[in-house]
Amino acid sequence: MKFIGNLADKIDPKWLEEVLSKDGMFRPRDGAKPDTPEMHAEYSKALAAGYSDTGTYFQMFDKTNCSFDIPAFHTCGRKMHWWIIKMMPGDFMPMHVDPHTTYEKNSSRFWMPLTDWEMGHIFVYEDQVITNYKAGDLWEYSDPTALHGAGNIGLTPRVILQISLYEEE
Amino acid sequence: MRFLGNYQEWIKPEWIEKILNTEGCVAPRDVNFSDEGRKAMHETERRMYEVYGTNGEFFNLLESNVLDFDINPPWINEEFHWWVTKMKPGQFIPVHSDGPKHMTGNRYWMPLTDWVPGHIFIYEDQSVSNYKAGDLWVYNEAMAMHGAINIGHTTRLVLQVSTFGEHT
Repeated sequence: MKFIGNLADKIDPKWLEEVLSKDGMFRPRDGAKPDTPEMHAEYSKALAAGYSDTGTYFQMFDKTNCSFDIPAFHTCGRKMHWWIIKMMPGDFMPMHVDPHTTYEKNSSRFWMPLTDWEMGHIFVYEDQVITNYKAGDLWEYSDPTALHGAGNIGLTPRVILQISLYEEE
Repeated sequence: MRFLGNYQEWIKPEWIEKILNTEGCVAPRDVNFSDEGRKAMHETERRMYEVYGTNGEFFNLLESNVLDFDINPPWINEEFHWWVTKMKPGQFIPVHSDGPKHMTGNRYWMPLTDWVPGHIFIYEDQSVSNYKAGDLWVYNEAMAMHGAINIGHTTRLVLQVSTFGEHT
C-alpha cells in the first residue's frame, strides 16, 4: 500500500453522518450474484471455506443509496467508481481480490478511512495490517489485484471510502 | 510481544487432528459466566460483552477436559494452564484486555497452523503475520489490548499457555 497523503479537508462531514445514521445494502445477502468468471471464482472460494452468501458481513453505500456524490479527484481522465463500506462491530469481509480490477483497463484502487483508526479496526493487504490511520488518509493499492480483506473486532463502527479508477474501453 | 523460537517438532500431528475433530466449548455462547467470573472481568471485557452480547459463536475453546491429551511445554517449569482457540473462517475474538487476573505470569501464544492471509492476531497496534506452526511468542503486559479474527479460508488454531509466577 502506498500512502498518498491526508485529504481530511476534502471530506464533507455529512457523508459520515448519513452513512452512520442509516442502513446500507446488506452484503453479501442483498448483493449482485456472480456474473463474471472472476466473481464466480471469488464466491466459490468463499463458499468452500464456509462463508455464506446469504449472511450480512458488512453494509455498502454508493450513489444509489446516498444523497451525496463523491467528487472525482486525481482521475487523469479515467472513470471513477466509489463505494463506502460500513462495518459494525463483528462485521468482516473475507480475503479476496476485487474481480473488476482484474479485467478493467489501467485500474487503480484507493482506500480512505472516514473514521479514525481504533483498536480492532482491521484492514489487511496481503500480509500487512494497516493501523494508526486518521480519517482522510488516502492509500493506493500497490497492486490493484492484490489479496485483501477487513474486519471490525472493535467497539465502534468502521467506515471506509473505496475508490476505483479505470479507463473506459 | 517477544518471539522465543520455533517448537514445531514438539507439536504432535495427532493433536491437530483431535483439535480439528473436537467441537469444544463455543465461546462465548457456552461459557458459564459466574458472578465471581464477571466480577473478575476487566472493564474492557465487560464492555466487549455489552457490545457483542454473550450468545454468539465467536470461536471454539478447547481445554484438556475435552481433548484426550495433555501437554508439557518444554519452555515452562512452573504451574501453567493451557487452552486452544479454534477459529473457523469468519470467527473472531473482539479486542479486550485480560486485566488484573493475569497480572502476574506469562502468556504464551503459539500458532498450531502456518499463517495464511486472513489469519489475524492484533496486539495493541501490531499484528503478527508470516508465522509458522510452532512459533512461540510471549507477552506479559496483561493490560494490553488484543484480539483476533479469521477472514481467511482455512481454520486457525492457536495454543495459549498461561503461567502464574513472575514475569520473565
